[in-house]
Amino acid sequence: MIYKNILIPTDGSKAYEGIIEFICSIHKVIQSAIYVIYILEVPRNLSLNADLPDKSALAKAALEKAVKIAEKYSVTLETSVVYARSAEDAIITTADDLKCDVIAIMQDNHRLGIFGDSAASIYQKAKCNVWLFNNKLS
Amino acid sequence: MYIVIVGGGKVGYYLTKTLLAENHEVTLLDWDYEKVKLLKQDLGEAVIFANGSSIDGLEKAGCTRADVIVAVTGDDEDNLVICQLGKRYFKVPKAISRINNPKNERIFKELGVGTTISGTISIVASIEQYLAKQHIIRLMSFNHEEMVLLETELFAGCPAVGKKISEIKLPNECIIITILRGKNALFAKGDVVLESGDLVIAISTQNEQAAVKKALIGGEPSA
Amino acid sequence: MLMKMIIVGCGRAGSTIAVKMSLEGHQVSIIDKNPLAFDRLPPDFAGTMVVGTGIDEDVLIKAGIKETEAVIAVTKGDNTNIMIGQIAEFLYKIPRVMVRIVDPKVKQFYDTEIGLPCYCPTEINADYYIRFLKEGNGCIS
Repeated sequence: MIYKNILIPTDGSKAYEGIIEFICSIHKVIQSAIYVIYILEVPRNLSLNADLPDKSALAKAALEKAVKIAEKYSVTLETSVVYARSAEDAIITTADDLKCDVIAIMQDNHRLGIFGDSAASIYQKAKCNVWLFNNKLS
Repeated sequence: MYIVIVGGGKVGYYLTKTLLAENHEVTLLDWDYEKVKLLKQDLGEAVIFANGSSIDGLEKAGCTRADVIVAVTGDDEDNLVICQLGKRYFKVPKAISRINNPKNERIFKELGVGTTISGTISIVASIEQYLAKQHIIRLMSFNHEEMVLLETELFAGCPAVGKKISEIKLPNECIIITILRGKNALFAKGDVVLESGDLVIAISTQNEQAAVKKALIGGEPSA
Repeated sequence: MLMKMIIVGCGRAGSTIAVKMSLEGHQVSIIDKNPLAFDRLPPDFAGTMVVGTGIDEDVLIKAGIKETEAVIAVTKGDNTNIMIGQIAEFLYKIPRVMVRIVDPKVKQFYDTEIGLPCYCPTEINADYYIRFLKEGNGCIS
């Protein structure tokens, strides 16, 4: 087992579903624990434990979808919603907390279809491996 | 408390670090992208890239629920606008501004930016304190350096020695708080007779400091 | 009626105002922190040129703020203009003060909340173009 824990910070998009599907499909070979998290970015004009029903619903839907994809491959996922101010920093700290060896992220600039500053900064700052996926997968 | 700090220079950086360590919620704003990248390496998500003297930038920082806004950029004109927007637009209860040019302290005061901290003035104050150390020591100052906590040791020949506290002609804006005599701290009641070797702790205004000195240990009040 | 006036910022706007007002006989003081900015003024400019930053009270005093009747702040920094404007309006109570604030939201705030006489070139320009696009006129010159 090279990789014990893999972290996928989904935003509920098709692109991230693609990553989840791919990693579940190779689960038999790598046998890693797979953590799928949804980072719920709380604007700074609200306190961190504020109630955000719209965003919570999106988070719930994204994580349920992830579980469904995993079921197709008979894989069990660990899912959770992480409340944070900025996704970028939360991904790195969560990876640390969960002792992940891999963070799998999608290009973050959807409009231009490139890896933007936030992906670049995760890539540089993370203490573990970072797998970068681009949208051409799906 | 939720504190918004504008200006990611040395002052802003150490202030943020200190407040975070004391478990306050802090957001630090800077409008220099490269600087923000560096600050984020150490301070993480407490730092955001935003223009602190714009309404949008302060809104992004969540100024609407801030308890304190602190402006510590290197430009006084920016600090003025940051504090005015914070106080008057976002209704932040307390605004604190750093002042780079000490001459601007009066302007800030008249324009209603209450609490100001002038690095230059603090340095000057500490130099003055050092010079005044001969007989009277300034322990601390507060309220824009206006009020001072003083300590002085009485010696034989001081006009105050042998007198009751009620007999000493102190300036109006001065109160003796306590007398340290040996290992005892005496309450500064009117009938306490001062002795040589007593340590007098008093509070007064900056302007009256010299008059306090004259009343307790004598000599001409120095300017 | 001839006036004494201070103009802060010797850019395109500041220098144009200074030259025109000076030619009409007004007593003009112009301030800029960059001495090279005064190259925009003609050699026969009759007004006073003061090198320094307009937020420094001493510089404003040198330019004659104690007896001036008007202050215009048109430097390229919004915040500099705001601070100069407030010094002139609230501390020296100059009868005519006008400052340029490029950010429309900040201008709105200083106009209504603080009561600083100011105008916003962004708003004026946008209005002008919108009127032009809608009606095909609006070109003044």
